[in-house]
Amino acid sequence: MGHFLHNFFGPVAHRNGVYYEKLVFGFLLVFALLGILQLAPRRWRKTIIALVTFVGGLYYLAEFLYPYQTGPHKNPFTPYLDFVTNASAVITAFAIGVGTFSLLSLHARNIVRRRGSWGNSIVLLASFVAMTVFGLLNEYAPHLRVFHSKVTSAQVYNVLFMGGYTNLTSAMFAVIAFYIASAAYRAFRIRSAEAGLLMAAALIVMLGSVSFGTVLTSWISLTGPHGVENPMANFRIENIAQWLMMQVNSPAQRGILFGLNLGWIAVSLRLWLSLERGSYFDTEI
Amino acid sequence: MNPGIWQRAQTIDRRVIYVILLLFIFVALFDKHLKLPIIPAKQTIDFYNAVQAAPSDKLVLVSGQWSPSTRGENQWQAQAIFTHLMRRRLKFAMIGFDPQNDQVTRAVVEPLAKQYHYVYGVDYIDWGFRPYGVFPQFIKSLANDIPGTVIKDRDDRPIGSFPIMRGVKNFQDIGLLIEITGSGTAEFWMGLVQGAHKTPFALACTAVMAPTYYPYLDSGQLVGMLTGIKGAGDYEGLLDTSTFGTRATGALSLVYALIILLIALGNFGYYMSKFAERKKAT
Amino acid sequence: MQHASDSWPVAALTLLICATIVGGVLSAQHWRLPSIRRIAGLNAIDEAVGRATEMGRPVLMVPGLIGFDVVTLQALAIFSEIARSVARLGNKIILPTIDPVVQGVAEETMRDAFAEAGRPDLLEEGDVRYLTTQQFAFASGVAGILVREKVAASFLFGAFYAESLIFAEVGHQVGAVQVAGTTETHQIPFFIAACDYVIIGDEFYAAASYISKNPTLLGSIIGQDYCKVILLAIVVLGCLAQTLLQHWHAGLVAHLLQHAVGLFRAGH
Repeated sequence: MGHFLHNFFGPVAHRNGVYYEKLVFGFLLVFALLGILQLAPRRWRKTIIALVTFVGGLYYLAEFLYPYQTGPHKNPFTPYLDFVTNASAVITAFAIGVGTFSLLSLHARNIVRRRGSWGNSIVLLASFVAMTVFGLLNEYAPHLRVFHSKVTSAQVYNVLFMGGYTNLTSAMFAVIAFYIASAAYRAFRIRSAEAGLLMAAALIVMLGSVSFGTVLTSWISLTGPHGVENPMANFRIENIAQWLMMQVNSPAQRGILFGLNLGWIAVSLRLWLSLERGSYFDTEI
Repeated sequence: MNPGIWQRAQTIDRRVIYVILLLFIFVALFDKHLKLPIIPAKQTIDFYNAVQAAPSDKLVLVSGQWSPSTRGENQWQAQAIFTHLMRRRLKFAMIGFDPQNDQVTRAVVEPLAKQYHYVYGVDYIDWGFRPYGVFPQFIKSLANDIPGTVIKDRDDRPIGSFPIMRGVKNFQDIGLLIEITGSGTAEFWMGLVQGAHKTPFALACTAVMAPTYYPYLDSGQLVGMLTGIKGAGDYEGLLDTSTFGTRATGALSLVYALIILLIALGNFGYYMSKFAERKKAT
Repeated sequence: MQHASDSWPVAALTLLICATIVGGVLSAQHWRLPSIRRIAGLNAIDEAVGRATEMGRPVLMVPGLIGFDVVTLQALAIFSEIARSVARLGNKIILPTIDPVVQGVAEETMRDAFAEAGRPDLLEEGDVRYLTTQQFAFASGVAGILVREKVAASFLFGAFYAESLIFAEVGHQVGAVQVAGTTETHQIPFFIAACDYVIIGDEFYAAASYISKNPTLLGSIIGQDYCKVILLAIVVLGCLAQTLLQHWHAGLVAHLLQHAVGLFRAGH
């Protein structure tokens, strides 16, 4: 049975008839399951969701707790990790259509009703259509000539993606450099002893990270007489900066990480065991 | 003393600051005579040594979580890392978890592969893209069964058909794991994969994320770390090459100097205006 | 570690932590509702909402960039309470999301919050909107909203990355009161530089609990606090054992100390 399921739900090497048959079957199976869920009585829906959530998470817990190998027997759950991973990826992909539909309908309504900044909505829709069309053409017909010109669809895609989108995202990231300069200038005032301490540490770490800073103490030799390590080298600014990062910053980061990761475990447990109450979680489905 | 001057020292128009910053960056990037000494950080030297010590009979796995938005730092780190791997004639596999990562990584790797006569499928392979949504599940599965999890390369060809993948079954066959990232994904590798298989793990991250990973450097879970563009510049210095990463390190120095100056000016103005007000009151 | 058998002490500790947290939650749900101290940054939320209503400008809420995840759900729990305050005062919200699934969940949450406050009419179509999945495209979209809508109060709760300073600095430029809370420690300095109030680290989880007075969330916080005590005890005992090992090199005591130090060694 396991062998049959593995072969049936396993990947197909080539996009042949079997591949398309499995694709159609997959769609039909999902719509059938969704239909059955819709037919289920309302009072059962929360229970069904809680059960599915629990079983989904239980697989990973069972796979973790069961030893990798006990005698001749290997962990029976581990071989199905890649199958479960692929299934998770497919389920995640279902949500893409939701967002796209929501985005397009919102901006189409803005244009039809001539709401404020409807011009931006036209630009968005035009960009969406252009990227979709030329992205698909680049994948399936890269040498297609656009409007019978010398320009191919691959070239247009390159201009739109590498020339336009890539550089725009890099530019947005670069804007942060300017913002940090103005934010630092505006906000960093030494109003207390603690702020002074913070500023001194920040200054040392900054100077220790850059060339002109390390040059300030580069005159302190790394080795003493007879090639022995010079203890005074610990006062080189890059070494003081390293000490601050390893011995002062690290314990603080660890403390915060303990708290954050415990919070992560807590929320994950609450979701897995459906312990959440209130607001979205208590809504009738 | 005119308190107005000190008030103005604290409230310089941000547009003036942006113009000065832009000038500093231009001068540093385009002035060929500006050459500042590079003293590599300890974590960069450790990263370099980790690649030097990587066994030549095992695969190096380079995981990419960066996209065009962080290419200002990650692209030059990637350039230096792949240069080092190819100089050492180490076989490597690449995988990306960002939709644009494959494109930007190939833009770095393919010219270097031509330069170092690296053949796809024999010396290196691209396992393609996997969605970030299944990242923890994917790497957990990858650690136990690489061929069964990866299945095909970026062009949909079975990975078993490539000579480089012969004998590669699981993470025991990976000699070094490198992650080039602009987001916080290293903990997943450490928790789910690196700890169990004791694979050396080196990280190349943006400078902003580096302080978070010092505890892992301290505990030995990370064998080395490249921090931002400075890490890339340091690494280029260790490799005795000089590309944009080295020039950008010089620009970084000047920008840091400007920011320190601005903060000093702001604080000086703050204290002098308080002093002037107190004097006026008395 | 891949399996519990890689390190049974770590696996046992993980199960103990899980049992403590679940015990805290069940205890709060069925037995006694615990109380936690007020997080200082929360005072700012009411101030910010009130100020935005006086100025007649909307309130912006950004649930982070991580998509549908535990941190985002926690942020939405906080936003649910903020939305109730906003609705009671008769103001509007704008909630851009980076993930279509989050948009659906957020829309339901906001609809419930406005309905509970008796003002379902104030929530319009498009107030909760999906912008894009790309980080910096989302950042520029939010920056555009901040400037065009002249937002008076901005709440940034969730997981943020490099774009956090873009939100915070543009918010400052339009004169918005900004309250931020994130689990990403490397973004906290940027928020501190540019925002009015910042909730740091696991105060983020405590904030949701405090605002909502929800037994599940409060019990979870108590469970987490007990877990921190357990971890602290392990750290202290580990340090003591490591220190004593400097003096005992052989014998049963040394063997036990060696074993104790190796129980939770990193990389296992």
